[in-house]
Amino acid sequence: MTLEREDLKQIVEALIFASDYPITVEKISEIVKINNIDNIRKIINILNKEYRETGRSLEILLIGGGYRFFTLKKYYSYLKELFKSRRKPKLSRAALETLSIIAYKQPINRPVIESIRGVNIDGVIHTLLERRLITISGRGKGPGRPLLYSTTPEFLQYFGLNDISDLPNLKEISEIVDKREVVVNDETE
Amino acid sequence: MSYHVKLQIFEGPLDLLLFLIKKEEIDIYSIPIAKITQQYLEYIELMQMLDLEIAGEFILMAATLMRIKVKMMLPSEGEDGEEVEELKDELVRSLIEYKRFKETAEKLSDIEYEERKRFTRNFSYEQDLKPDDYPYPSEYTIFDFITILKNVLEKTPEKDYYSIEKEKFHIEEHIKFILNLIKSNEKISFLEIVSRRNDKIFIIATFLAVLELSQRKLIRLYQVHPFQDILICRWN
Repeated sequence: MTLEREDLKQIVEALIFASDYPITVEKISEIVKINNIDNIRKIINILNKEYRETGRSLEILLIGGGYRFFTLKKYYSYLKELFKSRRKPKLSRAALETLSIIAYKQPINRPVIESIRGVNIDGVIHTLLERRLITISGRGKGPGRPLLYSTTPEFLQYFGLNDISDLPNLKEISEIVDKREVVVNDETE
Repeated sequence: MSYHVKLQIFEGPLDLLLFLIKKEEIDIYSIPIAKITQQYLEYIELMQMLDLEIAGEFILMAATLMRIKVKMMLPSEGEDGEEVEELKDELVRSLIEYKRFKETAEKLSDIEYEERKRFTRNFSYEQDLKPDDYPYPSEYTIFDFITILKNVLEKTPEKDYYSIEKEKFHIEEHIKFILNLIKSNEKISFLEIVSRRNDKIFIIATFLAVLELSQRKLIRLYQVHPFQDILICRWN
């Protein structure tokens, strides 16, 4: 069954709106029975262009591999009033540091994370698990077979990323152990 | 009624070292071991005096630093010399690695800040989240506040403040005092409060009360100039 192009645009828009999870281009393609995935992407681009041109307050973004409607950042000050008492709190520095380590070195176990941060991370791990930003992704080999942690799709959502490879400086940071020669000053007292 | 305040600290020895390196503007590739060991120990001593929970890792790091320092003072021969090199390298390596992740965390924090300006339909599980335990505004660490206390104590005329016995401070009075002050003033200065009395015990007890109130999220803390004063504000 072929669809009129105008109609197709509306259908894609409706699907993205009504979906209660970020909807993939594959899923949309399956429902509208159009195999050419690029055409679906083009349609979404057209929708966004129309929203911009007509001054709409919404945009469709690809985050975590799926599409969702978002309000434009510039209306932030009004939108936040809707959620004043219920807003997710921002992450603490300790949580962000631990999360960084996991994001860049995943899968990774607790003892290694603790050796990098130099401090016990039980509380932080609990927080990150509770917020579903990380998950247990397996067990390591070696003594005790410690649990391995990795980031989740929710992690990508939270930071507006489409894929883990979108993390800033991923390559630079994963080659971290600096073989550079270091000089430690032995000044006499 | 008195109770013993046991403040938690969430940072570790690497945080303290990086804090000192930043504060003293030290080049991480060329660390003056004697100086940094001395500063590190001063902070540990102060933390012990405040009866903060000092994890074993802090003591372990102190031992490592002293070991490096001592070995560097002795003439290095062969194996010994190598061992010191390895210790130093390992220390600097872990500092650099941790520092990189701290920088990454900061980038993530910026991204988080921006992403929070967008809104979309929420999934139901997001409603019931409680805030992290971490009590201080994200730019500060406990070491920033301890530095201010250190400065104040050093200016207070008394012979040697390290000789203060570990006392059980009756913090409750000081807590009430501060809460009263904050009722009638939107912002109060820590320096102003403690300058009323040249009493080290008063200063320390007030300091602990301020930190405790911050942990309980009854007040917010800001630094006016780096390490100069703590500004105490209402939570809302």
